[in-house]
Amino acid sequence: MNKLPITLTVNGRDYRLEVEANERLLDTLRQQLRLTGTKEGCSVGECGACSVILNGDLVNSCMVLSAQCDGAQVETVEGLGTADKLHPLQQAFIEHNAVQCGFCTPGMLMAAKALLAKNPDPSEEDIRQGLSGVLCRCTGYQQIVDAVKAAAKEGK
Amino acid sequence: MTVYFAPSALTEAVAYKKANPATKIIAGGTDLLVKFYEELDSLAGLMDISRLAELKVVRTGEEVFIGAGVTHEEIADHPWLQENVALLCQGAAEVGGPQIRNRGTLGGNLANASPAADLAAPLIALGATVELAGAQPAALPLEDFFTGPGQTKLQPDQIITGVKFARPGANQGGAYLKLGKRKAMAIATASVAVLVTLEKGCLADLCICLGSVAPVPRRAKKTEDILRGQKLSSLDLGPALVQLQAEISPIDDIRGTAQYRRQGAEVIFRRALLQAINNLGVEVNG
Ligand SMILES: Cc1cc2nc3c(=O)[nH]c(=O)nc-3n(C[C@H](O)[C@H](O)[C@H](O)COP(=O)(O)OP(=O)(O)OC[C@H]3O[C@@H](n4cnc5c(N)ncnc54)[C@H](O)[C@@H]3O)c2cc1C
Ligand code: FES
Ligand code: FES
Repeated sequence: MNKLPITLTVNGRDYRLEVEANERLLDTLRQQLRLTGTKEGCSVGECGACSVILNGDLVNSCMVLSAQCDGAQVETVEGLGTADKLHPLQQAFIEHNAVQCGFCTPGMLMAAKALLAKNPDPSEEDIRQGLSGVLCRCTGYQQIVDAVKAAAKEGK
Repeated sequence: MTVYFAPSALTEAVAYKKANPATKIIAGGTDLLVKFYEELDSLAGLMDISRLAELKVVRTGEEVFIGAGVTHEEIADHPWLQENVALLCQGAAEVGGPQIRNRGTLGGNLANASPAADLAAPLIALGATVELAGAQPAALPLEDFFTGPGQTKLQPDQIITGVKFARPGANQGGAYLKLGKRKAMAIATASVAVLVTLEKGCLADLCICLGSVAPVPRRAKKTEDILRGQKLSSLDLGPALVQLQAEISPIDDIRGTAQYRRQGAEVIFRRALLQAINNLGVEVNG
């Protein structure tokens, strides 16, 4: 077999995994770890539905090979909050009706989390920039921008 | 079955590439994984250079070096580069969205050789040299590196290690402008980088490079010749704009028609030139 052993910390939990050389981080998360919150939309870097935070940086998990992530820290939407205790961003998305079909939501949440980690007090333009790599076909974006704004305010 | 290899030093990477010339280099993967989408199984070998420390170096000073593994985000966010080569940071900031900028690298942008590559035009305007590792270390002007869409002079056993250029002087100013379908995530329909040198109220020298309007990032040398030496107080752009049209050869594609590109190139060239001059604190009309 040609599988490569890697270690990965996902949402604070350590995993020892074997991955194919051409396996994408997206596939490892969804198929091996069954973390299906991370979505596959376009598969070519355009839609951002697969966005996760890799070693602190927002990336498209369809554009990264798992073998490239040996030893890395990964955060996915499953690590944000729990059903009992939602993350402030998740709560704000609900309150501002920022979710319609929901397909973009995991990517939007991770993009917002990465943005707020680097810039806790973003302007509207900063928010639009920070979310610009995730497409939403439903909301028209305004509700999502409002939700991120509210979560940032609450975080202060 | 794909063979994966992640070298831990540049010398190791060079030796491996020499022994396995068909192996594909992967850095950020943002071009490669698109090109091989649904054909990932056809990749015989992958060499991951994304962790090579030697390629992540940025050296500032009179001579600037930026390693091939430096990401767009790192370039866009670099305070010294912002201060000294804003046009390059502007190019990097224009790439894709945050996800793409966090992964995509300088080396990948140049090796991929898209006529729209957002780092190519600013680096050519800066007079950059591209440095290559291989059997023999080599360096060539970036301007001569591209040979066609997706084509470069890179040999199968070579790896781009970075780019080098002189820090612009106090009398030099630059600008990079990009025309795209929307603000984020758009590949350039046309782009232009300009670097000007002002002396005694004259446009003493300049370098113009356009993207997406020719098979390769295209230097507009004859347009430069027309403008070189002109007094800023009586700058006459008319003949230069006519010449600019003769030096580009845009095509129709999904991002725009050739005619639209010609008009767009002219508009952004004029703006970039005036902006580059204004950036030096000099007001001009043209
Ligand atoms: C959604 C999306 C939007 C994009 N938007 C833009 C944009 O606005 N502007 C723009 O310019 N580009 C854009 N790109 C293209 C891409 O992100 C950039 O060209 C990026 O810089 C490529 O770098 P990489 O490290 O990801 O390259 P990779 O995909 O890893 O490699 C690209 C090619 O270069 C080769 N290579 C990589 N590094 C080296 C090296 N050091 N030596 C020799 N060969 C090497 C690889 O073998 C491969 O053939 C976009 C891509 C996507 C998916
Ligand atoms: S699935 Fe990764 S960006 Fe669309
Ligand atoms: S809520 Fe449907 S794509 Fe955003």
